[in-house]
Parts: sequence; C-alpha cells; structure tokens
Amino acid sequence: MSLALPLGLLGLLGIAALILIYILKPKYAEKAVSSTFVWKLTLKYKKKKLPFQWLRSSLLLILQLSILSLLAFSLAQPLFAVSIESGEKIIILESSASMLAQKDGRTRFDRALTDITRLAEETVPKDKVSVILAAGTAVPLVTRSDAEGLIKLSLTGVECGYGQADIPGAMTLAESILRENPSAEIILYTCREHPDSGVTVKNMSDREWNAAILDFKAEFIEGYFRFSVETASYNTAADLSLVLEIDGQFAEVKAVRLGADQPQTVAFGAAPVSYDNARVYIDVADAFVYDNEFRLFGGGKQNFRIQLVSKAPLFLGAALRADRNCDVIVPGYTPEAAELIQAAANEAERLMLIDGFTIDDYLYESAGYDLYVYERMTPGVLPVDGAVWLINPESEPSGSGLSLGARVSGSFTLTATGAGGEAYDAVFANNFPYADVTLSDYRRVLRADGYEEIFTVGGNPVLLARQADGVKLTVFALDFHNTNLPITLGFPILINNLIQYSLTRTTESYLYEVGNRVAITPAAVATSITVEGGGIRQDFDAVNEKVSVTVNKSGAYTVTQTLRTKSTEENFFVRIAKGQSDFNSVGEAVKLPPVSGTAPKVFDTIDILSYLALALLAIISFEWERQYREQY
Amino acid sequence: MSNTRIIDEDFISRLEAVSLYMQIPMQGYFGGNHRTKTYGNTVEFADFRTYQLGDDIRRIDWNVYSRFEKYFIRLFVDEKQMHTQIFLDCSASMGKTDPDKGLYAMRVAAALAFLSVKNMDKTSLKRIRGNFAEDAGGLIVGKAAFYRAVGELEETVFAGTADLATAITHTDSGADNGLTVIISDFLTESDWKKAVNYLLYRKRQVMLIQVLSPEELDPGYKGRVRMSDSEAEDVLDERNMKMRITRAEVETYRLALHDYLSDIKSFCAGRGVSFFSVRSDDPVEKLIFGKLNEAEAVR
Repeated sequence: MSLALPLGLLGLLGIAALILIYILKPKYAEKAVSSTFVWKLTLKYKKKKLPFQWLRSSLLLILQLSILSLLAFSLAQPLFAVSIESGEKIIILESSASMLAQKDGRTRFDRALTDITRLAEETVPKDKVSVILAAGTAVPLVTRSDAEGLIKLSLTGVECGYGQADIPGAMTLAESILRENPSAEIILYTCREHPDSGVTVKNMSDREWNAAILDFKAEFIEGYFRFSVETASYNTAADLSLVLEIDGQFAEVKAVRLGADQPQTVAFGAAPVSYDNARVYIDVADAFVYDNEFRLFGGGKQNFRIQLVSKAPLFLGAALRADRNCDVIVPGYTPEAAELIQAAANEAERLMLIDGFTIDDYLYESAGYDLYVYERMTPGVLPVDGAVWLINPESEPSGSGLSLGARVSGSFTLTATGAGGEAYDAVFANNFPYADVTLSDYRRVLRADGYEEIFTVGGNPVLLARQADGVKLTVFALDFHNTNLPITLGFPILINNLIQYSLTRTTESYLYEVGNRVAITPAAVATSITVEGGGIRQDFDAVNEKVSVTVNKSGAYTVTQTLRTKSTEENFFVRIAKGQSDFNSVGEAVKLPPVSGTAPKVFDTIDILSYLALALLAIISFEWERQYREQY
Repeated sequence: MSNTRIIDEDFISRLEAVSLYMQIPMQGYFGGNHRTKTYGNTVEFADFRTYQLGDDIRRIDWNVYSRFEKYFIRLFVDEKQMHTQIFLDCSASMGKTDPDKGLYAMRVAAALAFLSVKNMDKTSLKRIRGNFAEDAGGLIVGKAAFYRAVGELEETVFAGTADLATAITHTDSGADNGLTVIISDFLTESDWKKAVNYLLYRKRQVMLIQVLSPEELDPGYKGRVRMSDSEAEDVLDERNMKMRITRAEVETYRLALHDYLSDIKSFCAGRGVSFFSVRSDDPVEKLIFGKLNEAEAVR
C-alpha cells in the first residue's frame, strides 16, 4: 500500500483527542435508587457470563475510532498495489494440412482464428497474449502483447499450411515465454486429441468426412508396371470410385466399399510397360480435397540419351543399356568408311580397317546427348551439353586440361586415392571391388589440371574425373581389354556407378511431401529453370549450380529447363503427409515445459478512496443507530 | 407516613371472609382457632378409641356399646392459639426512595396481622432496623390492640439498614407455636437465609413476602448514571455505583434478578417455606386473595 498524501495521517491525532474526550467526559446522571444490590449482581454477571461484553460496551468508542481512522486514511489518499493472478495466454495455432478440412464453408483453421480473436478480446488489455503459429516451422506471430489491435493484425492474412505442424518447436517458443511468466496458460488449437497433455487443448475437429488416397505405388513386375492404391474413408463408411489415368488417358476405374476408418489397398488391372504420368483420383465432395488425387512420374521410360563412339561398342554398349533409363545410340560409319568396310575381303581385314579408323570415320554428334562416351577415340572439341567419358584416349582433346604420355606395360593393380571427392564417392558406391582388378597396360597422364584422381597405378592416375562449367568429364587412362574388369562382377557395378555420377537427374525423386526442399540439378547448358506448381512459379536464370525450392503445397510440379536449342520438362508430385489424412489419429501428449521459478507478481494499483467512503458511510450510520438506541 | 391510612374499614371487611391457615402441626396455646393433631374438647368429632381406666365415663359412646357391646369413647378435635410474628424490613431500600413500596409493605403486614388477630391468635408486628426488631404495639391480642398497633405502624420511617439475620435470630420467636412472616425486598447483603434456617429450627412456619418496586423489576434509566443507594451512608459508600447503562446492561440486570429470585424460590421450596414476590404497584388484595389463597396460606 502506498499513500499519495502521507501528511493526511496527521488526522490520526484525532484519535488521541477522542480518547481524551472519553476520559474527560464527566456527564453522569444522578439517580437515587432503593438498592444497587441487583446492579452489583449484574456486574458479576458481566464478568462471568458475558466475556465479550467489554466489546459491546465499547462499541461506540470503537466505531468512532474507526471513523477517525478512515477519515485520516482518506486524507492520505491510500493506493493499494494488489497482486493479481495472471491470465496471460500463450496460444499455439496448429497449421497442418488437416486443419484445412472444411465444414459449412469454413475450415478448422478459420474457426480456430475466430476463436483466438474472441479469446484475445476477452484477455487484453488486462493480460497479455502470445500467438505461435505451428506450421512446418514454429513462428511467433505476436509475443506478450496486450494490444488488441496488434494481435488482430498479426492474425490477419495468416494461412494454414499443407504440411505438418511443428508442435515441439512451438512448445520451445512457448517455454521462452513461460520463463517470463510461469503462470501463463498454454492453449493449443489443434484438430486432434492430445490426451494426458499438460496444456489446454482446443480440438477444432467436428468429425468431418475425409475420403483419402493414402498411397499410390507402381511396381515393375515381369516387365510390366502394376499399380496399387491405399485408400480410406474417415469418420464414415463410403462407396468410392477410384479412377486411374495413364499418360493422360483413362485406364481403369475401381469401385470400392470402405468401412469407416479402415484403410484398404486396391490393385488395378492395367499394366503398362512404361508410363510418364500415372494419376489416380476420387471425385467426392468430402471435407478435405488435398488427398483426393495422387500422381506418379518417371515410369520406366528412357530419359537419358547416350552416344557411344567405339570401334568395338558391343560389350560396353550392353553394360550401358543395363540401365533401363538409358537409350544408348552407337553412331554409324561415314559413307566412305562404310564403303571401305564393305570392300574388305574378310573379317580379319574388316577388323584391321576398323582398328585403323579415327573418330572422323563415324557419324557422331557433338550435341544433343546426356552422355558422350568415346572409347580409344578423342573428339577434337569436347561436347558442352552432357557428360563425357574418355576411355583409353589416343590424344588429349582441347580444353580438357590433360597431357598424356607414353603407354606403360606390366602387371599392375589399382590403388584408390582421392577419398572424399564426389566422383570417388560415386565410384565406390555399391561396394565396387577394385582390389580384384589387375591390368597389364595403361597410359601415363603427365598433367591433369583440376582432375580428381580416383585410381592410380604406381602413383600414376588411371581413372580421373573433373567437373567444369557444368560438364562432368571422366577419363579412363587404360584399355578395358587390357584389364580383367570385363570378366569381374565389379564391371557392371563400376559402369552403373559412373552413370549415376555422370547422368545426374534434374530432381532426385519424382515424389515429395509437403514441406520438403527439392534440389534441382540443372542441365549443363541450361540457361534458366522454371518451377511451377502448387499455385506458385519460381524462375531461376543463369543457372550453373543446383537450385532448390521448398514445396509448400500439394499437387503436380513441373520443372522446365531452357537449354541452348530447346527446352525440357520434368515433373514431380508433392503429396500431403499420410498422417494428415487420418482424421481420427490421436496426437502425442504435449507436456508442459519444466519452467522453474515462481510466477512474477503482477500488480495492479487500486484507488480505494471510494471503498473508504462507503465504509465510512456504513460505520457512521451504524454509530448513529447505536447512539439512538442508547439514548432512547 | 403518619397521614396515610394503611388499612381501612372496607379492606378489613373483606379480610373478615378469610383466615390464616397453618400447614404444619403446632403446639400453641389454648383458645385459638387452629387445629392440632392432638385431641381436645371441641365439639368437632375426630375419632373413637377403646375405653381405658381413668377415662371420663361421660365420654363413652353408648350407641356404639349397644352395637358392639364394647366400651368406646369419642375423641374431639383440639384447637389452639398460635403466635404470629410479622417482621417488616424497615431499611431505607423499602421506602426511602419509593414510599409506595414502603406503604405496600406496611399494608401487607397490617392485613396479615388482622387475619391473625381475627383467629384469636397472639400477634407481634416487628420492625427491623439495624440489628434489632422492635415491636409495634407490643403483643397484639384482640382487635383493639390491633388498631393500636396499626397506628404505630403507620408512623414507621424507612431509613438506614436492616440486618435480617441478626435481628430475627436475636428475637424470642417461641417454638412450635405459629407462623413467622418476613416482609422485605431481600435486596440485602445480610444473610437472611440464616434467619430462615433459624426459624425452621424453631419449628415455625415461615412465609417470605418480597416487595419490589416497578423500577427494581424493570429499570427505566439508561446512559451514564451515578446511582446513589438509599442505604448508603455517604457518597463514598461502596454501595453507590457509577456505570454506563445500555440495553445490554438492562438485559443483564433482568437476567441477574431472575436468577436471584430463582435462587430464593429454590431455597424456600427445599425447606417448605412459602415465598411470594409482589410488585408494590399491585393492589394488596391481589396478594391476599390471589397468591396467598392459591397457596392455601389463607382460606
């Protein structure tokens, strides 16, 4: 308690004056009575039977002292600083896809926003409100504010996410607020139950119906793709029609009867050998539309074009073709070369002729392929729009940074070096058994500027890799025919590993989940990339390194690359997290952060003058009544 | 008091209709109107008994002999004269501040004395002052003596104190021969119970009549009051009181008075003593023909 005018307490001197008046007050009425015998008995009674009689007999004095005290306090203008219980609220608003479920035109998220606005109006300005949006990453919208306008402004334009909610992150943010006021109440606006939670849970779910495609798979079995769908109907049983489209064409429809909350897997009969785009969907008016469609891309069609220029292409070509995504093209001979071969007397002469051919005897291309493989031949200028393998090169191509020396013969084994490099890691993927490899001949590399040495023989590199200007160049300074590689199990592993290294796909997968970050590897000669889907479009110009986008909405996305002469398109699909479709799932218990310490006192200053006036009035009235009763 | 007639002819004529009634056996003197348990020579038949040698043969009932052929003599009720003592508390508390209270007490004393005289009993009117009880008119026998005594009684002045215990125990009260009436307000520190016990020891029938003024029953004064006790010797006397009287005090006063009266009643009831508490503003007739009649003290 504080006093605005402490001098007012001087009024308490009136108490001393009152007591003095009582002491000096001599007015006793004279009364002759026949006997005071009974009055003396009365005094004994007062002592014996009425122990609190002194209080009654002194009531008037007590009342008058109270009046004087109240008057003095009123003059001093007392202000009471009272501790009030904090009603601060920390609101966590879940922003997951399932909060988008609609009923009567309003989503759960909308209803939660309305509720939060009302709660904020009730709470401020007396107490503070914090709002944390638990989206893919928890972010504070407003922290410990008692300004209603600011809180409403922070809620304006907030949209619900399509991913999962970062509740733990939101609780971490809430904990930092709790440290400032441990008595603040945490309220979680969500759409599922969180039993045994230490926070107040407001479940915005209204048992909405959700028919969902939970998963869509294509398995390659005996040369055909077999499709299967996992589907479910939550909160009510339903008859659904699952429609399958392949490459934009209707393929099949499946009618299924689903029990409530019982996921079911349905297999389709359609079985293509390959596909670019498979889509399954259900056409229903449920509360949640974002899981009614599912797409698959990249269904076995050959996506990479490889040009193999070799005097003996059969063996290496077969190894390259082992990857179903690769379309291997072996260029033919020039007409002149073809005529010479045709004129050969026998097979031995034909082989002799071919052995003497140079690269100019082939109708090879220098652009338009994803991978160029040159075996025992070297182009004058290296291609710039794809990866290049130089196998046992006869000479150094210009701009390759290589300087080749003489051939070395003997019996050698490989030594792995350059651990940690990108190419090294790629070669050694899938346990390539390099120790078994022996060779009898290799070409000495005198200079290799900017190359990563992967294998060496006696300190001389025999397998090198370089990445410059977006072009991956791999050099084998050896001849496969002079090694035992082709007869080992490691050969297809090595070829596959090098394909994976050289032929980098634009995206690592065709299927992502909302919230994922999609890395896009541009083609070597791409001048721009456009990513479009989910209602957004992102453009990247002058790309020569990976770019990435975060996909925040479900649906099909298209990556368009503009190359020098043409443009390419690739697709991927972003799905809603499976758990978001399950409207009856139970959330984990949300534990209250263990914040130590006591709640800070919240003080409010109360001017009690009006209360004093009321008390004064009451006591004066009572005192008058007592005076009246004593006198009459 | 001398100008006030405490008893008039009209009241006396009404008293002629009733008599004092003794409720306990008594010895008394010959010539009175009070029955005893002994047999005497009155005309009122009491019982038979067989003839004994030495009995007066004139008292043999021959009618009974003719029926039973045995000698029976007839016995008759004996009536004796008793000595009625009436003690009047003449302290200041009985009339100094409230003359009506004193007048009432004197009228009660005179009325009871008349009833006693009417029964041909010996009567003493004794006024207690200080430690002594003085006779008013001496031993009263007959109506002439009664009127003389009443004349003296009317001259009574209520003043000073009265020690009932000492005054009564030092008075020759006789034995087994009558009624003792004590008229007082009993608002005294004196141990009047000792006097009652003494009288009972002397086998006297005792009657206590307490006279209280209306103000004593219900004090009408409040506020800061300095009360001067009528028996106080001076202003410093400890019987004087100074107190602040509120409604609570008055309530306590009533409670204390009630308990005090209950104590007297309890004391009297345990000893066969008659006790009557009366208001001084009530008619005396209400006591005589009301309370005393109901209690069969008079008939």
